[in-house]
Amino acid sequence: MADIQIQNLNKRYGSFQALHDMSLDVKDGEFIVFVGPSGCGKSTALKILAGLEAASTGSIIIGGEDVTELAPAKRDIAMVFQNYALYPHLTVRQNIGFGLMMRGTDKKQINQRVERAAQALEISDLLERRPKALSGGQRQRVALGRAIVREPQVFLMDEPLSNLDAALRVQMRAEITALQRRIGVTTIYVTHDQTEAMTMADRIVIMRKGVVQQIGSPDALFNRPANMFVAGFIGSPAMNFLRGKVQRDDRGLFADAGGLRLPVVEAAASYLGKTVICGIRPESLDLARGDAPALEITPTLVESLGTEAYVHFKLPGQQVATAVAGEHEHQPLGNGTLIARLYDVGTPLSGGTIRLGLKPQASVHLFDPATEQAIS
Amino acid sequence: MKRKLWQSILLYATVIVACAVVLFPVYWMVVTSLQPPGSLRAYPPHFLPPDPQWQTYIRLFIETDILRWMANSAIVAVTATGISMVAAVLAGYSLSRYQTKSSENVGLFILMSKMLPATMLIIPLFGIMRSLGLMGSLWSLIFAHATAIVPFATWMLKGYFDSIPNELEQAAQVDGCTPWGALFRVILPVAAPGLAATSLYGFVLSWADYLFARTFLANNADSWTVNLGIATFKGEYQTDWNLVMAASLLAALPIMIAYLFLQRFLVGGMTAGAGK
Amino acid sequence: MTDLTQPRPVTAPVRRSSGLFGIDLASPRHARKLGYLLLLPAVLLILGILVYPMLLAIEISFHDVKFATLSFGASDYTLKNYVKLFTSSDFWNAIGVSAKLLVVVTSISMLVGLGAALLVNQQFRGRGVARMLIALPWAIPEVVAVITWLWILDASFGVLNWMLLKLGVIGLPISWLNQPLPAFSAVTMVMVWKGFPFISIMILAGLQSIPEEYYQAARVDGANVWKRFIWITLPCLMPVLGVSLVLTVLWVFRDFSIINVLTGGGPVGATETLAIMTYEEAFSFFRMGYASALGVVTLIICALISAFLVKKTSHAVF
Ligand SMILES: Nc1ncnc2c1ncn2[C@@H]1O[C@H](COP(=O)(O)OP(=O)(O)O)[C@@H](O)[C@H]1O
Ligand SMILES: [Mg+2]
Repeated sequence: MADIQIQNLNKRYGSFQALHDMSLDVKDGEFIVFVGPSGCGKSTALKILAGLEAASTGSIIIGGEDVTELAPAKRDIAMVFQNYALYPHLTVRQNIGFGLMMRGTDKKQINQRVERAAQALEISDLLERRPKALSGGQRQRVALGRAIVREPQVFLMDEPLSNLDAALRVQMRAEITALQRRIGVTTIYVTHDQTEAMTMADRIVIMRKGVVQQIGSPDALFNRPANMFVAGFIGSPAMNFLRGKVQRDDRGLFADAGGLRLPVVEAAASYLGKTVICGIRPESLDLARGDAPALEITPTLVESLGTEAYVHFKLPGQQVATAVAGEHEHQPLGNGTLIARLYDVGTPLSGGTIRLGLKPQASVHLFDPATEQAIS
Repeated sequence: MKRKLWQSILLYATVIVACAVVLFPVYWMVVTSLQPPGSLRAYPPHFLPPDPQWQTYIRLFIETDILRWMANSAIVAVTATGISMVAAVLAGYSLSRYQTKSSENVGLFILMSKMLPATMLIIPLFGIMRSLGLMGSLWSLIFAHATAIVPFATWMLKGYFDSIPNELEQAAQVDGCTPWGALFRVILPVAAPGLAATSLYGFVLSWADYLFARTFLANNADSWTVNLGIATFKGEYQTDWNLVMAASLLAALPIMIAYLFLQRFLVGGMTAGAGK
Repeated sequence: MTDLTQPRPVTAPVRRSSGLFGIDLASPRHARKLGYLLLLPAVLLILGILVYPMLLAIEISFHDVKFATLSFGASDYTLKNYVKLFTSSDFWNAIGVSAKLLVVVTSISMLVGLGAALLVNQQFRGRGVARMLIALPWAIPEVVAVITWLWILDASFGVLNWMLLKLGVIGLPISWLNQPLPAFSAVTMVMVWKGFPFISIMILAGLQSIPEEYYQAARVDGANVWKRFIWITLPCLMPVLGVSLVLTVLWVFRDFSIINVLTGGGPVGATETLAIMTYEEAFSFFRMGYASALGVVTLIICALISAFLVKKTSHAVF
């Protein structure tokens, strides 16, 4: 178990820069998640950590030792791959014991440790099978077994759950987290799924196009996103972005977004009279009461899930689309929809206009329209 | 889709006729080798030897050096295939995994070298082998065959390696292997069918050679390979077709057997090499 | 379960070797060097046994020599060999024979190979055996195959003449190897027999890699067997057909053993290809300079043909 320092890591493939100046300190025993859309450089960073790719510049320090030039075999790390990469010609037992064998551990001890790991992962009765005869979930467990049996300094996992079906994914998510807490090995976990990141991580590193956007706890990223990208990526459904004009009246500083009065932080004072982007989470919207200032909208779609309802609507001219939708990054189109997540609506929502207001205590995130950075 | 009866019959008939036509020369080799000398010129020909003459084979072993020729062929084919497999495995693996612009060019260079006509190369090679003192030695053949096998074998193996996910040797490296160890402990066992198909290709190529053997070995009967031996033998025993066919069958047998065992790997291996 | 929280047992660290020449090739930094190192044995073999002789052959072709020299620039350069070549009727005859053989053997082999592959790609019992048997000639050495065919083609006692007479195709036994046209046909027959199985093996592998869904979708769209063949099978096979074509063309153009043992190039040059002529000039008449010039011409034609074919089929091949 060890701490990790990533210092000014850069990676170029020809003229394409896959990683820009990445720096990160990982504490001993921490569970770090790299998250971001496909192609943002998460796997590249992980491979450099593992020694499977060379860094263009920068260095990696694991447990106080500079391993930048070290072969993967000498870094004392374990890695779980998206396609599991089980050795097809070996049995499960040999697969799990392979790393120990390579390190010259004696046979008896290998067997003991393989069996203990198999027990922990509940795959004891699969030990004599070959990977071909296993289900996806079982392969996943074998891959985990191969990683934990060596009790390495660091676990690296590259989208280990993305080949599983949804239900199994939720279950394995919990199991991996529990396993990591129990054995306390420093772990770096890569995913494009923000839910996985939010539920598993001690700290999240969110990346885009090879650049780290923000590093922080799930709470911090959710409540204090550093920029529009982070705000839009974290949380589901994604945050709504509306243009609003910063104004001041006798009740204080506020942004006027299409008739909605959004109270804003004092830091926005410098934007007085200017347009900013206001981020409102779908959960922060509610049916407006009485004649309070509200957004008059016509839903384009109402998805009712029983206790809650997702109301989709558009505010042409007012809304700002972001460039991220789940796993993939795209060009912002400007025709995305806004969503309000309403609880206990009572009577079914009809097709007519609805008046939406901000929940009391709900926070509004402000962003500079030019830099897309948070205003705070 | 269920086939109608007449379609089934037609299909089986076509398959049987096609196989019969293709295999007739092999069949004829076997039949002729067992004919008594008198019935070789029978009219009409005997399609089943009335009295199979197994002693023809004994006569062959006694009167000719066929066993030595076959041993020479085997030595050359095994050694040449071995050498070329080492080179082709390494090169194919490099082309599959360590791709750079310049290695791509080297790969094309290797492939293109297959284009050189052997009848041109043999002229200077004759001189080279002579000056190296290898004329009449099996080594001359071994090197020539090994090199002839390398280009296509490299590309066949590259195709195989391409079909094995990268993550496999990455996992092995993280598990404690050197890149070298990952190749030998993980990739090669997984690519075993490809190795089998490629080795078969090499072995067949080497065993079948006549041009190099004839040019390098003609003046040293001790090192004749089976094709060279049989071609010469045929010239001497013009009319003893039963003996000649028995020798031919023996010469073809080792690779026919290897082929029957390895054929199913070959089908996958060929297109892998063709850059499917 | 809680066993895993016990103190970590000491695992022997992997030995930290310094590797070759003090460079640890396992380090990510040196991956590329390792890549080049792996190419080295193959490249050295090819440089030594293919490229060096090729350069020598080109060199020799510009000298008026009887034997191969192993150094460059040893005597005066001359164009004599090439002048002699292009004014020789034998040479133009060999070009013609090679071209004829190329077209005839390649096209028949491709058709037979395609047909055989389609046949054994059908669903039927014993398909595995049929696949194996129909491609068996591939595994038979050319010399052995030719000697067997010599017996089958024997003018007086050959089984082929007997069959043809019996079927009434011919009225008199054919002297296969003593007349130009029959000799050329015999060479064609043997080459096709020996050459089509390789094409079949390639095409069969190509057929197996066509997803079954394509055919199902086409069936749903109402395409009949013929349309499915034209619109699905053929386009999907294009890469394999392209590669097979290139390899077959090169084989026919350069093959030595079959013709040498079957006809020796005769009668009266009817089956004398460039390859046969080159070898004859070099090792029967010991005119190695002249033979090298022939070899160089062969090489250039090979290069042109394959460049042309690769260009035509490159979208499919690479
Ligand atoms: N070997 C390579 N050569 C060139 N570009 C590469 C290579 N590997 C990855 N890339 C590029 O680097 C970027 C980051 O890739 P990756 O780290 O795999 O993304 P992800 O975040 O989805 O894991 C991608 O745009 C990818 O195309
Ligand atoms: Mg990735």
